[in-house]
This record gives sequence, C-alpha cells and structure tokens, in this order.
Amino acid sequence: MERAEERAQVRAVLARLPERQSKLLVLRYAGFSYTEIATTLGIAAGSVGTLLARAERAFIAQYQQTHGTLEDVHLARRSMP
Amino acid sequence: MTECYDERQLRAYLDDALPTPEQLRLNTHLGNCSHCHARLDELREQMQQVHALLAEPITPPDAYGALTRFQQRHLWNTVGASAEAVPAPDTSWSTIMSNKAPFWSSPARRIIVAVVALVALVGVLMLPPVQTLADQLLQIFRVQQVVFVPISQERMDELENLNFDGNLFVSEPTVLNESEEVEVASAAEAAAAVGYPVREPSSLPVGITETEFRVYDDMLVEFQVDVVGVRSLLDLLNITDVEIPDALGEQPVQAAFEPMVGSSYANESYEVVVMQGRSPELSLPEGVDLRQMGTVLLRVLGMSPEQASEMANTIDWNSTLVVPFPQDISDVQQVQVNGKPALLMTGNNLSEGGSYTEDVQIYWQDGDTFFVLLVSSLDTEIIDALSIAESMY
Repeated sequence: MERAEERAQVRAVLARLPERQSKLLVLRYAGFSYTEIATTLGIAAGSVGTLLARAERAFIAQYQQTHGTLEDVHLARRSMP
Repeated sequence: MTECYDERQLRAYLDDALPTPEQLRLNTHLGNCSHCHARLDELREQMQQVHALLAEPITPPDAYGALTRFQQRHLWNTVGASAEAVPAPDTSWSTIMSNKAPFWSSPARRIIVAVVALVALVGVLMLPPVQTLADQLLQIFRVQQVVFVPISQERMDELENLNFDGNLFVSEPTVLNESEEVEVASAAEAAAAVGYPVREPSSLPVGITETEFRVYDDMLVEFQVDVVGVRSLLDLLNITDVEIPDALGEQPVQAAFEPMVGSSYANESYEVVVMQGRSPELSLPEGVDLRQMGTVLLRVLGMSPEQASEMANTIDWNSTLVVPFPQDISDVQQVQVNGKPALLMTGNNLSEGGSYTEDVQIYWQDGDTFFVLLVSSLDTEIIDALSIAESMY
C-alpha cells in the first residue's frame, strides 16, 4: 500500500514537470544511456548532462512544493521493512 | 590550473558519460579546484535524492526493452527499421484508451518487432556448420519451446560498452509481402480466419466495456547476416573457442510469420491485450549447424565454454528459442503459465499525455504457438496478469 502510494505521488510530481523533463528523468533512472536518451528524445547527446541537471532540480523543487521536505521521504523509506 | 567545468560536464561526469580522456581530466581538476568540487557535490546530492524517489517506482518504459540492453544495442535498430515497413494497425486500437496513444497505438507492431528481434537474435548468432546437406538449400527452424537464459549485468554492460552498431550483424530486414489486418467479430471468427484455435482468457477484471478482435496477415521478412560483424563481436568478447562459418552470410535468412490474432479487452482504466500466433519459421542458409550456433549464442550470453557446450547438448536446437533475460532486474521474472516457462515483465509507462500506466507483459510458448499477454492499468492497484494468463487454459 505504502509503495503504491509512493509511486502515485512520484508520478503526480513527474506529471507536473514539462514533458521533456519527466521523460528524461524516467529514461535516465530506468538505466538508459546518454546516447539512448538523446536518440529517444531527439536531442543532442551533448546536452543530456545540462538537461538532466535541470530536470533533477525541477523535480526536487516540485516534490518539495507538494510533499514538504525530502527528509520525510528518506525517513519513511528507511523505516520500511 | 585548468579551466573550470560547466554543469553539463559535471553532471555527465557523475554518470561516467564523458569520453574517457575528458573524464580523467575532470577528475584531476577536481583535486585542485574546490569550486568545481563543491558544485559536483551539489549535483551528486541532487542526483541521489531523485534516485531515492525514482529508482523504485520507475522501471524501463518498454518491458521488451528491458529484456536485454543487448537486443537494443545490437538488433533493435535494424529490426525496428523493418517494423516501419509493417502497416500500422488501425488507430481504433488506441482509441480504446486514447490517452495512452504512444504505448497502445500499435500493439501489433510492438509485438512483431519483439518477436522478430528474438528470432533475429537466434538466427544471427547461431553459427555456421561444417554440415554439408548437399541437396537441401535451407533448413527449417521452428520454435516449439523456449529456454530462458539469464544474462548477468556485467555481460550486459560489456555488450553495451562495445558500442556495436546493429547494422554490423544484419542487413536491414525487408518485408517481402504486403501484410494487412482486419477486424473480426469474435474469437471464433478469428480462429476460422487463421486456421488454428484461438484462446481467450476466461477470467478478466470486472467492468470490461470494449472487446475487439483482429487478424493480422502472414508476413515474410528477410535479412542478411554479416559474418564478419559477428566474428568481430566474438573477438571483442574474447570468445575464441567457437567459429562462425562463411555459409551463414551467403544466403539471406527468412522469417515467415503466419497470421496472428490480437484480442483486446478494455474499459477506461485498464486494457488487456492478447497476441497469439504460430511461431515464425526461420529459414537458415544451408550448412548452418544449429547446435554450434546455439553454443555461440550461449557463449555470448556469458556462459563458460563448458557450460555452453553442456547446455547446447541438452537443447533441441531445431525447435528451441533461447531468450536471454537480465538476471539482476527484479522486473523481469521467470514464471510458469499452464506449466510452460514464461517471462513476466513489469514496468511503468509514460504516455505523451504525461500519465503513467502500470504494465505487465507475459510471454510464453505452448507447442508451436506463442502468446504475449499485455495488461496495462491506469490505477496503481495491481491486476493479476498471471491469473489472466492461466485462465486461458
């Protein structure tokens, strides 16, 4: 239950980001390489680093805005069995 | 002191994504530059925070993509090109769940691509023989059973790092015939059209509002193996105990798909799609020794010469498809459907509308028929895809 809830929260946050940013994050954290990401999204491979840093910043900001601090998340995760 | 690095370089450095010389230069620079060091720490912390949130909930967008990075690297591009030649299924499939267009707009194409990729994987890596069957031009390979071979993360990384161009192994596959699809009214009508029994799940989630049946024409795909390319791959992997015969590249490999049936059961929050069909028939060049080629495949997947040879001897290579699956990814599991080995893959998909779906795909083979069951749900509640698969028996 907790896990499903957490997934739903993360999705909601991603949905609030610009589409390219959320796709970029999903692809990267699913393990896609920079080259694969660039091909999939139709962007230059050299720009992945910049865009990724921005997307991560935006994701964290959006998450904090909706759910408070990230500390809560880490604590919640650690306390899970 | 060297010049400072920008965010692009620092972030790529964290993922080890810079060219090696640059990666090394940056590393040296970090030892001398507290400014860059501090910025790198910020980026790393940010990355770790996002990772903590995303690593678990988000899995590869395409479960077949997760099947192996290997396929993606080495075969997907070429095979994907052939899929473009396949007529796109009618969009009414996607109108069932219009907000999920990217994932569902062409279910048949995705599956055709996947099946071609699996077949191509086997076909391409199977080695040539010293077998001289003088009066037979081609020998026939038809899948009747599937063996799942785990492939380790190390080997997948290794294959990925080779940065091999898929075109080195096979020419761009061409579709030799015009293939069409038609909608039919029922499973019985589909069965009459394809000439074999069509299975339907008897247990489905409640509230199905739309049911659809489609029949896809037979399709003949042809591609040529580049023996030199396959040999270079073996060289790069330091596999020297197997050989690829010239015969493998001398004639094109043909994959013949018999008509397939797709059925879809959906309402506004989930969709269950079943694709079923006879296994494609693969015609290999004369003189290709299936067991030897199978051994090569097992070697490439990471088995030792002894393991590969032992396993190769236990497999009927004329009728067995070897499917590699990533060992260390929990989203890919080996399960059973009606006692047959099956591969279950789970993942989240991001649609263009920005909504996410929970997706489960199960692939199994029953005799000479293959099944792919796809369950896609907008809810976080888990639909038991395995029960649906079992209910087809």
